[in-house]
Amino acid sequence: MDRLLLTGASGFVGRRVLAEAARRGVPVTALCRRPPSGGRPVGDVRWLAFDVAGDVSGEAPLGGLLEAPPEDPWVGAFDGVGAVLHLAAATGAAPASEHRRVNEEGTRRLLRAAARAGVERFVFVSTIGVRFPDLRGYPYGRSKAAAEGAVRESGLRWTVVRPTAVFGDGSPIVASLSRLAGLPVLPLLGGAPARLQPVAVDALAATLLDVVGQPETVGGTIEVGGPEIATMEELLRRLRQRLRGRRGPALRLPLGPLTLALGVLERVGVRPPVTAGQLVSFVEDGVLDPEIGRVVGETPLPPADGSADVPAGRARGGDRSRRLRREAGSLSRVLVGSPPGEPVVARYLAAHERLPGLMPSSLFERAQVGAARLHPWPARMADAYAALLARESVLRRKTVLLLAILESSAGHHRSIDRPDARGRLGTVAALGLRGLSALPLLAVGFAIFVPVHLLSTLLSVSGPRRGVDP
Amino acid sequence: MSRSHDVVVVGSGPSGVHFAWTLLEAGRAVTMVDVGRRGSPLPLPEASLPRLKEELDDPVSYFLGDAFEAALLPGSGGEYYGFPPGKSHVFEPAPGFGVESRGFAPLTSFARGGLAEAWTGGCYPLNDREMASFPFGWAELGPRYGEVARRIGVSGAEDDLAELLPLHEHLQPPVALDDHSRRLLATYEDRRSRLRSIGCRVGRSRLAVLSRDHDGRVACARLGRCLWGCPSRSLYTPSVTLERCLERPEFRYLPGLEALSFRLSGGRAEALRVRPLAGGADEEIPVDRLVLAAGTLSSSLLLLRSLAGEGDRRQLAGLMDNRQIFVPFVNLRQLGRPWSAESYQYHQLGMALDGGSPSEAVHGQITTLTTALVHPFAQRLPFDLGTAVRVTANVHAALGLLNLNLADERRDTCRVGLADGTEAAGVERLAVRYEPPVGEGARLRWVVRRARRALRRLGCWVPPGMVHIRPMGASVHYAGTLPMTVDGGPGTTTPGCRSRDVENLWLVDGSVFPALPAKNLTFTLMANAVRVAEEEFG
Repeated sequence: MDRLLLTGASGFVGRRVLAEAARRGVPVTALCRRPPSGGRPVGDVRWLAFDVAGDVSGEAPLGGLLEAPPEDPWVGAFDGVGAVLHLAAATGAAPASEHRRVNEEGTRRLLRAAARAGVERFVFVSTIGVRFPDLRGYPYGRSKAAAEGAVRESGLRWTVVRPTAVFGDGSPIVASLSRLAGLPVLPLLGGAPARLQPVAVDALAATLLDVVGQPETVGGTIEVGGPEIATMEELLRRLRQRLRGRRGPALRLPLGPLTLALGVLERVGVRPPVTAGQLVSFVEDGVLDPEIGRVVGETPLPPADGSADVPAGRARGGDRSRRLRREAGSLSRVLVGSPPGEPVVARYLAAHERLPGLMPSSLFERAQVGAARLHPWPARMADAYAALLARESVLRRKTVLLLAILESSAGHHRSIDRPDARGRLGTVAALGLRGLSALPLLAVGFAIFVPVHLLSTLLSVSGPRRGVDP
Repeated sequence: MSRSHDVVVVGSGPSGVHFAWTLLEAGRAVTMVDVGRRGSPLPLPEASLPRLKEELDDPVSYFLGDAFEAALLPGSGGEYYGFPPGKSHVFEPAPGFGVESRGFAPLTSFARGGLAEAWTGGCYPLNDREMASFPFGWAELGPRYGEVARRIGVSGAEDDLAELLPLHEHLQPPVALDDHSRRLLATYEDRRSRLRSIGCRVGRSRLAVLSRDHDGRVACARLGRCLWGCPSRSLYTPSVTLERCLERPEFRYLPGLEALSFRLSGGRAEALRVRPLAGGADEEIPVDRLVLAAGTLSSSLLLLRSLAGEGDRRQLAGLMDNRQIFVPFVNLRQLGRPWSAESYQYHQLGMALDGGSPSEAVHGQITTLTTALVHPFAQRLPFDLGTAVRVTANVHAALGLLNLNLADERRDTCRVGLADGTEAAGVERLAVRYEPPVGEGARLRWVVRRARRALRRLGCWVPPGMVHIRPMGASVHYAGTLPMTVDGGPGTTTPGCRSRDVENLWLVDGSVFPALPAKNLTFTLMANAVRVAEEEFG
């Protein structure tokens, strides 16, 4: 039997496709940039470390699971392959350039390589979003639309499959929407009138494998969705019901200022509950075109009268110490210009177990802390803003805590206590320079955090404080 | 415990130990009942503060505490010093002890030596003007200040502050000034007339710190560790005198007992009811003469509970405390100078701001911030903390803190009583209510303005937004609930500190102060305890 070349094999949908292929006895050559965590999938799978966009992954093979990338990344990848199922894509909050590089350029490269290898069958997984009327603020949809064009012009025996929103355990979309639905006040972005027709991931995986083997789909475009349609508002309310056990207050927000503020958040590397690009899916319908649509599986929508459920995103404690370490490293470089020693980090972690008020509890505080983890410079910008307008915010408390630990620690205390005598003129000059260098930080800090703080305040009106670490 | 004890003292704070020592020196027997919590020995007694950070196995736990209780994070009150973890025993309450309070942040101590185990050593005798409402004056108290100075070792100088701080016997020469304090004092001397014209005087602090070896203790070695506990005991604390007492066979020390109340019969205290900390039933200690030195709040509570046992449930009016204001400053003349962490850490200079009357006078202690932790300071600067740390390093040699103490007067609205609740009779909790005087806000602003002006003339700059007005209760100079009066009724004491409610009861702590001048009262507590012991028990 011919092998199936599967890209994005370690992703949310790819893992289900692998499992389904194993059940059907289809041998797979699996391409992914990083090996999947968890156990070895069953079935005949050949793993290749691969970036479809052309940069061979630098990651070493893990436990024999992955074959080492060859000099020419494509050599051997198509051995025994009879069809390509192209799932790999940049999604979510990736910058527009990354969407284009991976989704558009990557698809073109894969098409050329398949043609060179003489593999004709090519199934491209796109998105229902390419049909949104205005793709200007939606880089993901734009890149997928361009890739669809490349597929149609490839001369291969292609099929384009456009799933609606894909739901199921581990769904990035559900995770994003759940973060939003878990806020104290439910923000209905742009009123959230969009109609959705989500598809269950297992049903989608089965359909994709079906399509590969269906010659009647060649040269055609198929949309795949579930049996139930609901508005975004209804979906968010049901998610909220499941997460918090009650429906609670909602706030309708205009899109314009939100798009701006979210764009800023993404720039500083914070993962907001919803990205600026995704906002469009709150107002544009994502339902099947009856002409080309296929309804598959059961509805993955949470039931309308769903009872409270343990939120799937809560059991993420394992990442916490890693994030706190990164944070300590960044803040230590801000404070003393060098990374912290292990005893300092250990104390910093221990303090987070003992002291209150160190968990970000609003969008603003998550943005602050997210910025701080990114790099010392955004950390200083966030702190420069907080020093004037949010003196008791979480980032301030964290930074002062680390300062207290550093100045009480062997070695580190010298860079804080150092008795450097520069003379009066030298000191005045040094202070002047400090002031000058702090000004641009302050300006950028304000430009970023004024809108974020405003948005955060808007979202958390009258909401109880929650102690959830992002 | 059936034996009757002649004199039973409750509490081992500054009043208690000096009262007891006076009697012991006169050959009398004394029994002292005390909770008596003790701290752990101080590590590396020879090491200076910077060496401590390098050489301790776990310096973070030493400086910040295992639960990070001494880390002052934003939003936790705006203090400039945390309570050092090594002194946590000083503030640890007895089990079940608590105070309900309004307008007041009460601190109590059950340590050997009491709250003065954590004092900063200021020894400020009251002058005759300040004792105007006291039933005695300098003639009676002056010699007792000298006697206390002989016991504990007080260093100081005769300078401009002497007008405010009368001179007494047994004054050691002052401890060596650090560079910053020396320069401040030199500036004052240069500009004396300009400063005197605005009612400001600056001089050497009077400190319970040895500049010469004394009574088996060594002179200040300038380790810079005062806040975290003086390992050489050059900085006096009452536990030093308690140890002297313990060497005397006539001294009976009963630690581990929390005094709850005393049993009254016919207007006399018959027995002191105590609760062993180790557990077990409450016990009674028969008393002949009972002396309360448990501190204003605890002594008041003991009396209130005992009277309530007789159906007399009342409140005591007149609680006082010195309001404190922290004014951080940058001495522009000191910018860019070298500094050494090896110095006396607390205040070396004092500042007096005259008022029209003693109640308007202000007394300040000037501390140069050489060895304090910098995070409480840096977080108040309006910069990101990376910049703030570097700015602090640049100005460290020039940083100082003026701690202003304001006088207080007895007012009927400031009261202590028993909390309403379900507690069993005899273990009721204390309820404290404090209301600042009318016009307090304007008065504080006026004081801060005067302090700013004085500092400006001393060549110092007060950064905006960094003045910290401490809450009432924070200075722990409590007084006034059972004032000494020449003639008065219930709820007062005689000039000899004898209760007018209970015939054989004396109070020798701050509760008997009829007024609270703008000075740390500890030195006066000790001198007054000596006076009472000599006059009433001699």
